[in-house]
Amino acid sequence: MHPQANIDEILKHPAIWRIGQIPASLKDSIPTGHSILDALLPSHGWAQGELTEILTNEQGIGELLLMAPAIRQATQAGRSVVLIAPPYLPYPMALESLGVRLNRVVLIQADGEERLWATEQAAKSGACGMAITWGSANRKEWCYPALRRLQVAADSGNTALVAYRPANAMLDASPAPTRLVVLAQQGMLQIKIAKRRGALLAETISLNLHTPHWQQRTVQHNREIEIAQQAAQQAAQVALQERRGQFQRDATINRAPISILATVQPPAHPSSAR
Amino acid sequence: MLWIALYLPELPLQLALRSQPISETGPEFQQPSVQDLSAQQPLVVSTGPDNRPIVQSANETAQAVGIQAGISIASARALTLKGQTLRIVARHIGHEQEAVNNLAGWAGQFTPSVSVKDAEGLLLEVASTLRLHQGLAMLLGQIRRGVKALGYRVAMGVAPTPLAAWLFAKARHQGFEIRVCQHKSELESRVANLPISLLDWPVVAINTLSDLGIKRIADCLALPPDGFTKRFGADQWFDLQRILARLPDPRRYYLPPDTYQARAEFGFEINDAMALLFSLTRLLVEMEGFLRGRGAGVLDYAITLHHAHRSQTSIRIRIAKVERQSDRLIVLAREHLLNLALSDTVTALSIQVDQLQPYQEVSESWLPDPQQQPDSWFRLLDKLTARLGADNVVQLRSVEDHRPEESWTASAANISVATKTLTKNPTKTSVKATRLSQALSTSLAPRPLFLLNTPRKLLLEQGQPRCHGAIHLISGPERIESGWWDGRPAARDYFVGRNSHGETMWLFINHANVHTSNAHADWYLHGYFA
Repeated sequence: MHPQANIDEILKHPAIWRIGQIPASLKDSIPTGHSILDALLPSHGWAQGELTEILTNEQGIGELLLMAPAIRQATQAGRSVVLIAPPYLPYPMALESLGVRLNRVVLIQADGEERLWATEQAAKSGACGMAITWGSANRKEWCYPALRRLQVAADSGNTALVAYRPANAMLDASPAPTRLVVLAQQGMLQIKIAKRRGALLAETISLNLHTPHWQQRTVQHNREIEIAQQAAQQAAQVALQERRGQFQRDATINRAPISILATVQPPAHPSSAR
Repeated sequence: MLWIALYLPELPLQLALRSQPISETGPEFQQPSVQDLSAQQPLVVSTGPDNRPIVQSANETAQAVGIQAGISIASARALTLKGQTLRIVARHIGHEQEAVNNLAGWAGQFTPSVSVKDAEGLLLEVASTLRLHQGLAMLLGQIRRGVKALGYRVAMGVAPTPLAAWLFAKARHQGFEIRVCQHKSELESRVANLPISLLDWPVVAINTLSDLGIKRIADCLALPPDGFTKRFGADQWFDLQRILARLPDPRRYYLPPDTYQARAEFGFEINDAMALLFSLTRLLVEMEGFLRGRGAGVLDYAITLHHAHRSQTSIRIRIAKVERQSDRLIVLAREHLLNLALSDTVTALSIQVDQLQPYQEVSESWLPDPQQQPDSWFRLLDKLTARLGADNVVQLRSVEDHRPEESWTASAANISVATKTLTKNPTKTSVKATRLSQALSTSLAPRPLFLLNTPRKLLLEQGQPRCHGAIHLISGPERIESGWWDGRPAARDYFVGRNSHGETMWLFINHANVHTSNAHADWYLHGYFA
């Protein structure tokens, strides 16, 4: 047998990929509804049979809105979506206006150990298309073995399991094949794919999930603040210049030692001030 | 016609013994197992008036020390050896009748023609269902295993007439070698050698016949019919003719009721909820047989724990989908029992079904209908509900109200699913309602995905609200003023605000008490645009 042909055959195996390349997915997925994100995820969506972690400290940056297209698609296809222990009530009217079929959404309220238990049951039952769970704010509460159980449960039930966890959970290892770090900037949702099958990705994706108008307002607000800050800085510098001139004049008049000048210097360079 | 007789010997004693676990206890209890202990302890069933109860039947240990049926309980106590404690269970004829009826209901899964024989056993006519059960041998095996799983000891007899089958069953219990008799022509030769004491005749008649030297049925049959009838009555002669299929023997069949209840008496006190599971399993297995016979299932049933001091604990178990398989029902019951904190010791356990539901057997499909919820979904809901409670596994629904906190309801997920499967077509009003609420939801300004259960009052800095930093408003106001008619009025201006972290919030100024706070309006956080 030709050795070259042999190596090509081996490289076709879906579990093997080369650096810089996204491996062909072994599993089905539910499209995220955001084409930029789909293109960068190896499964081209929220992978079924896998645990996906979304790491964020903020609330209200659009972290759940990110899942909305997938929830809509799953429920409209007649599959059930289970929401486990969300921090607040998922507002039915908002879900409905996003096109989610509420009769296929089940909300589970559980705490502590039972949160993990309920997640595991839902994931391994194979009855729900998607399970979204919220981990505790304490990253240590869901340790590696616990997450490993969730990953195994998702695998055995072929469920797309998404877990929201605090951002500092990134410090811990996780069995989840995909981990996304999510934060907000300029009114846009910034997603960094911190872990995926295949090459690492340095760049971040920004998505505008909220009303575009709000983002404009945010940018405008930020610019206003910037302008105000610049103006304030300029004003401060002008004032400083004036004061320095005043001091110099005073110094020349009073023949004060130069060292005094240093003590009244503006706190722009705190180290030198001390 | 082919009849199978199930004879339950010493039913009162069986019922008293039945509630004791056999091998369900864990390995740590293996060393003197509960069964050994209970077999060693003498047990009697008492009957008769309260002031002078007598022994109705006694177990082997009790018989070994000389306790016999008919002696008084006081004598039985006196006979009990040192170191042994005599357990006395009062006989309850009602419970016996109920037990036999439930067994008849359970046997309904094998044939619709089940006849109850005097609270002692059952007669099943199986000629019509032999093919369904792939022959008599298979059917007998199924019945034998089933009865054993229910914890009964039973003797079986098979014959073309009900009385002959009954006779064979009793004979087998007495230790006679009886083979299956399927043809009427063989009947006479088969019954000929059986003693007349097996017949359900008055003791006087049997004694007289024995005194005359007539000990076997063949001897009876050899007597002249006129003389036999004149001396012992026509009933006995007719009995003989019915046994031999010379006279018709119509039987009244057991009609299974539309409700179901079963009971297990322990005769001792149990204070561990998990120990109840053993008896409950048997009751549920029996119920499954009954439900199979009825072609029915249950959506909810009650487990009642009877305490020693005349109080009860009732657990109502609701199931997402019509169910009858005992193994699934047991899994759910286990979750409920795990949650249970027993306040008192339990002496008896009963289950009750008020309403039977039509059961549709679903076969696993190779290409399942995606719109059809899989069975596993209902099982998941049941499991979650059983452990977390019905309030914590819910489906949400929009309600038409402008006040956010009034605009949704939650209903237990496993119940709403069940009712939905029953009423397939949504009513016109509900369609209209969803359309209206959709119109309402699209016409409104954006709503946050997360809603706080109770609005949180925000700190103010120079009259501006703060939450993780200063908030700047990016949308609003939207006025919501409603609810003055039901005592929960809301007069608010809603805004969308964002802090420096990019957290987008749904805020409102409460106008309801704006006059009380003179300096600044009160700001509340009501949701996150998650």
